[in-house]
Amino acid sequence: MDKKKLAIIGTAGIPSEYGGFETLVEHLTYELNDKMNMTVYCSGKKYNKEGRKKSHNGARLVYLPFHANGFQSIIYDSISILHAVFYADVLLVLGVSAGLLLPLIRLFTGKKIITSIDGLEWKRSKWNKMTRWFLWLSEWCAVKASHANIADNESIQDYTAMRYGSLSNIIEYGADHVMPVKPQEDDYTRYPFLVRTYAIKVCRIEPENNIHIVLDAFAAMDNYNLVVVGNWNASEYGIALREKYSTGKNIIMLDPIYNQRDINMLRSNAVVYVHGHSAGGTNPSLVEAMHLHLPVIAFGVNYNRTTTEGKALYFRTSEDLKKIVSGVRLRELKQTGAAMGAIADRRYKWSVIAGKYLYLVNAVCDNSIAHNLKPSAGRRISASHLADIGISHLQTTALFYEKR
Amino acid sequence: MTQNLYTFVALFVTSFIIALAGYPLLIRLSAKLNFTDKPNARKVHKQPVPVVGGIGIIATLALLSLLFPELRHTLTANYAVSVSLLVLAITGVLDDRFDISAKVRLLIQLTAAYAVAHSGIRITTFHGYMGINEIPVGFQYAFTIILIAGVTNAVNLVDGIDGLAGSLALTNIGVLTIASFILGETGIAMLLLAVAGALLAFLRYNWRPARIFMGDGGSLFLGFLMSVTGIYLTEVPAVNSVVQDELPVVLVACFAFPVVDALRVFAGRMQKGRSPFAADKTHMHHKLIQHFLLHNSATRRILMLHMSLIVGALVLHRFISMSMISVMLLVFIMLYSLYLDFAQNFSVWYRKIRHYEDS
Repeated sequence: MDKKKLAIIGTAGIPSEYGGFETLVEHLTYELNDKMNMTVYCSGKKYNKEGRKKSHNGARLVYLPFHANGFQSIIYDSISILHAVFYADVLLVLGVSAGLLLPLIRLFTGKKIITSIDGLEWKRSKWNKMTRWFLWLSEWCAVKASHANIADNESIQDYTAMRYGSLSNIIEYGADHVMPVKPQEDDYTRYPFLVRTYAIKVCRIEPENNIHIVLDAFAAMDNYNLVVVGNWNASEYGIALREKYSTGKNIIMLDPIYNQRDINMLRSNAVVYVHGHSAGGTNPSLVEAMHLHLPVIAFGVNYNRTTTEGKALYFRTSEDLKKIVSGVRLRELKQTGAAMGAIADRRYKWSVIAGKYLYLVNAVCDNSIAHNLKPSAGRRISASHLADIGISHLQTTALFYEKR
Repeated sequence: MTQNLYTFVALFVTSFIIALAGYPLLIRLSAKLNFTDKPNARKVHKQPVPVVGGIGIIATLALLSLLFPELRHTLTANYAVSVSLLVLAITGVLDDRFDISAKVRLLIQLTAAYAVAHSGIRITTFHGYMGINEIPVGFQYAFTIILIAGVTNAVNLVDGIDGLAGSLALTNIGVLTIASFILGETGIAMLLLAVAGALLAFLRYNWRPARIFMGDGGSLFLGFLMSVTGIYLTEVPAVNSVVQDELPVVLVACFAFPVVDALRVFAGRMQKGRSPFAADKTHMHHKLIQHFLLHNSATRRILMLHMSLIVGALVLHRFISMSMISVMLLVFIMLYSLYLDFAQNFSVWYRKIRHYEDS
């Protein structure tokens, strides 16, 4: 089988420092560089002209002078797609910014399109009404026009089945790039709280990550320590939270740590990981924590439940969180941590994830992965005829997302 | 002329006061005579509401014609119009009470329209619209009858939420009154002002929460009145040629919303394989209360839309021909309907997903 040419569109580029999609692409190129010819589109705004590499991990890098996120992402993605149409066999589009363009691509070119819906962007309250409507429409176009689509979570698969009648392929994120690290001498000087037992939370400081709920709960519990690492000064929300809670002795708020070793160390030394995300999908930070065998206390939204397979502890309000933290015993935490680790070792490994991507790219080249959920007999034969033959059930199959 | 001005004002105010005082009486009467609109699964209201709007307007008009000789003169000048108005109002009232078949109603409307057309009020010229001027007599009758029946029924259909039909009618009657003053048709102006006064009083009781409904009596009466008056005014010999040019466009804009909405609903029903008269909830006002959940907001939205269409048509007519404006009105209202569908779909999915996430 000759090597397929894959174009990866929609990320800020590699080599990556942070970012779910960027890390994903980094590992895809690392694992699959000998199996596929890959081209990754990178944002010229992020990589300065001097340090730019022509290729990384065997993948060709193409630079575009636009921002990969925000409003410019529409142009960024669109131009990447138009450029890729000339040479690629398969386009892997991460994110739905250029969704409106994809129906035209499917109609006029013979290229295969794989779309990855990154959570439900149109639902997030950080966008204004017009942006949300645009994203909603883009998502619809992207899913309908792609030959296969990827969901990173069973709940997203349920959503696309309900909304579009399509069967998404579940491919999550890998987490085995983080390593447990034992603290050294100078770490204790830099981070004095390492001697205590603490809960840790690493995330972007945004209201939908429910940091205020977590801080509120821990502020009321003096004897439990909490370390939160995030970009506090990037928003008014963050600045206000920092002012309000920095006086608490048990709450330590740190600015973003980009040193991979340091952040791994802080996380692996923690006793529990608190995950407040309520936005869609499988969060890379959560699977990383699971890989480190950390017990997880997660916000009780269906995405988090599916990522942790229902085996973590869940909260919705700060009252819930207080009850869990003060009530849980160390042995229970250890069991939860082991359960998380087992899930991560089974599902969230880059070799597994890359294998799924490879399979999907090859499969989509052969045929369009079927989008229909109902059996074709149920769709094409009339209800009365099915009843006559006695196989009416084919018209009303219970679908996988209808949980009883 | 100043004496006439006082007469007009007096007519309007008297009409308002009579109706304002009269409606509570009618409300009490309605219970005894079983004149209430009972709710069912499809209708929007939840409790029985007296359907006395039309009766109130007719009664007020009758009382005023006794007090104001000029009004009496207008009404007796064209018996076809006055008798038709009365007949239609009675038909509507009977329909509210006893549910007359739609075919019978339509027949009565067509007969009334024919009577009016025969009495001389017809559209005789297209004023250069699409290049046509004078039209043959047969077409005049046909076109006039279709127009009157169409507008009357469109106004009837638009009576779906509190305050809507009344406000739209009041706006249109306001426009017609202004036009009749400019054209010197003081008789028509008197009739319109009398109805406007009663209508204003009606709206006070009809705005959310509605204590009375207009019913078919009211909406048929108003629709017929507006369409006949409109046709009459366009046919008046050119006293003021500016108004003569603008009036057709403005009238098209005045009735654009009810007519286009009705046509859109018929088309939608036929596309689904149902009869165009089968009741469902696809009117613009249904969509708006699904979205805003409040009658007042929905009515205000539609009223704003309606008034901007009229003003817009008037302004654009300086630059664009009437044919273009009619097409633009149609397209705009259709696009607005699509926009409402889109927004509603979005909201529904948003709530669905929120519920699903939190379960």
